[in-house]
Amino acid sequence: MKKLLPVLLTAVLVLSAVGAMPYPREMGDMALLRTMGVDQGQDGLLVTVSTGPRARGLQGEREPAMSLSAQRASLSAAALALQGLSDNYVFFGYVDQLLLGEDLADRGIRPVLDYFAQDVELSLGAQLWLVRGGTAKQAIEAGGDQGLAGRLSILRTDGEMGIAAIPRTAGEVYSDLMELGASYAPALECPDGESAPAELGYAVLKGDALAGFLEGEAARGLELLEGRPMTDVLEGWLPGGQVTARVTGAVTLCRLRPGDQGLSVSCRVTAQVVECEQPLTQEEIELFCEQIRAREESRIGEALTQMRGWGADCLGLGARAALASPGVWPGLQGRWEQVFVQTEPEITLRVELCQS
Amino acid sequence: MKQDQISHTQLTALVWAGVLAPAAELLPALTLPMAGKGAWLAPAAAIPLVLLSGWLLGRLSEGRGLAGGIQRGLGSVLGVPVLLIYMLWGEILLALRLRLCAQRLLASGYRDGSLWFFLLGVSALVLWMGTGKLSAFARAGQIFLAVLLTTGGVVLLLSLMQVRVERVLPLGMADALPVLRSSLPAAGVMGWGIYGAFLVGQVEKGRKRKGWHWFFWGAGGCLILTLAQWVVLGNLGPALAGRLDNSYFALAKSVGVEGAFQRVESLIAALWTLADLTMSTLLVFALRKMSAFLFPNVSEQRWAAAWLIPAAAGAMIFLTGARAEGWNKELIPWGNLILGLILPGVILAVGSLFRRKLPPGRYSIMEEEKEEDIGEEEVGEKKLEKNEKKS
Repeated sequence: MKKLLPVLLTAVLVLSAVGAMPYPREMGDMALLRTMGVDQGQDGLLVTVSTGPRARGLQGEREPAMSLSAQRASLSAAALALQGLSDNYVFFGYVDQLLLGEDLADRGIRPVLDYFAQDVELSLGAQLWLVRGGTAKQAIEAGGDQGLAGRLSILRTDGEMGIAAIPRTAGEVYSDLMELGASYAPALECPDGESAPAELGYAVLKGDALAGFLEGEAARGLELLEGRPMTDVLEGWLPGGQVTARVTGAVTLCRLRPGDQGLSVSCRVTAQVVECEQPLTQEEIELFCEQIRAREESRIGEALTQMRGWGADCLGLGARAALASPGVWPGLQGRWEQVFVQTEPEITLRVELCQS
Repeated sequence: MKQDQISHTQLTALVWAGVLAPAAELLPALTLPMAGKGAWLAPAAAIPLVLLSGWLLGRLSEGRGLAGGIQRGLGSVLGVPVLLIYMLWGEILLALRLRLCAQRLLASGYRDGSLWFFLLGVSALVLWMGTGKLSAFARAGQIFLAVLLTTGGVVLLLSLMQVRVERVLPLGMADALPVLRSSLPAAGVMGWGIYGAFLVGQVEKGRKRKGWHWFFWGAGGCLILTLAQWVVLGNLGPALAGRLDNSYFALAKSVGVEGAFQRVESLIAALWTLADLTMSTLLVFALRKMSAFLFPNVSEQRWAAAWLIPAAAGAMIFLTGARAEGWNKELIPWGNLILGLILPGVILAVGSLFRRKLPPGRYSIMEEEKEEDIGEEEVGEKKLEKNEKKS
């Protein structure tokens, strides 16, 4: 080994001389991208990227977020063009928010997801958002000096806590598209192109293109079917006065009915009374439960009607039901879309109300 | 030489730490085309094959190492060519492992740097470990296995919450045959560990041989891999996992804890180098053992360098990126199956056939040595008895 050491040191010196050693980079010279948006441009794909607020100098002064945009025939070419537009080394490894414009979604998002799956720096763990009625570029630019990443990160955390739309990663959407042929992602609305984008339900994808949007009651229905309801406040009117309850959870089970009878969906919703003038009697509880049940059932029905209209089982209800009826599924799997569209699902909803 | 001994546990830890490198690269990509949704069960279905291979290699080694076992079974005329086949295959595996390790390091650095640099670094480390003592390498291997299992465990644990059961279940009777078929490539991947059998001669013989020990490590390792495959496929789904170059590292890319760390895949890919180092060094030790068996006059350390330097050169010049990955997926698992299952079975069968046909003491050199040893022991015992009587 003692004889070998000089040989190895010489080899390292030679390698460094010919430039084979890794190239060191200062963090200050790098632009760490956080948000990436892709739109369908006239001559190809329009890619817009943005950093968060950047630290610079000894005191770590905050510089405004940097935003870059390039349009090329492919994503790789656009990403390469972005490198040439910046004074810094553009690093895609920190991209954790992916925004897709509606025009692109209409044509198909698979090339973008493929690129995220294959690229060395990008990750399928990035959160996916679909910009409704606008472009991803507009949404990113609306983030201003602070960039959009911070706001989207908060929305994601809120979504995980059940106070915003269900967050979805690019990997989850891509996997669903390949396994189920349909998927969904939270939608953002950028009304005037200047104010920060706001959530607006969900975009439903079929194949790899946009099928439509679920918003309002239908969006709440999708959350119930997914078993991840947004913390929703429901008001009821009883003989004793107004009562307010907060939805705290939902468990949804799906079964396949014998023959080609389609789905049977049973959902158990738990809610907690948060405002009432006086403690509820048993009769009042039953009455209020019935009101909640009717409302939640209509939400589920609305979501299912729209999904069936598009022929998009974006929640994988059939595959989930197959877990309970493994014997039925092999014969049904090939024509599930047809069965899903043609048969009315049977919805059973039960409410458990808890008085605080 | 007696001081440079390792325990059964250390040897199996070395084998599994090394096998984790090809397992992370090839599973479930190799089993998905055969088993689809049931591909996660392939390592569990491979348990009988892994145990059978372990039993065959153990039986052939007879506690003295596979090199001696092959010659005992086939004699010098057939034994030496077969041993040369094992040596050549080991050299190919070594070159491939060095190349794939350097490629992974290059990828984890986001293509920054040069393959030369990483290949030279890895080869130097393997040479340093491969020319040292087996006992020191075995102690390091235990630590490497602990680090790898912890790293893998953290990735899988953080991914567990995103598992969707409907992506891996339900499975019916129709899936049974594809799953059984997929056990072959899965066993081929784990077949990278067969070269551990050449080091059996340096395993401590003081303790009683415990059959359950091998069973526990063989079946336990396969079950851990099964669990890992379940999490990977439950997250990505069979269709997406089949499209990705490397599902495990793609999953590691998605792992992060908000506010603590967002991207860990570079760290995980770098830590996985420990598996590559273990496998490469294990191969170097096996190759030097085989060479020393054939040419006892040359020191084992020199053999280590003699095998490693051509392997590193071959990895750089001959094995291009696409060829290395192609061989790793299409050629190596089947070769491992032949050398780990079929050939040992044939050698054992031929050996037992010769034992029946030839008079005792004539069918192999080692058998004669064994009998001589027994004879010497008997003489020694008689001498002891005589001494006791005199006193």
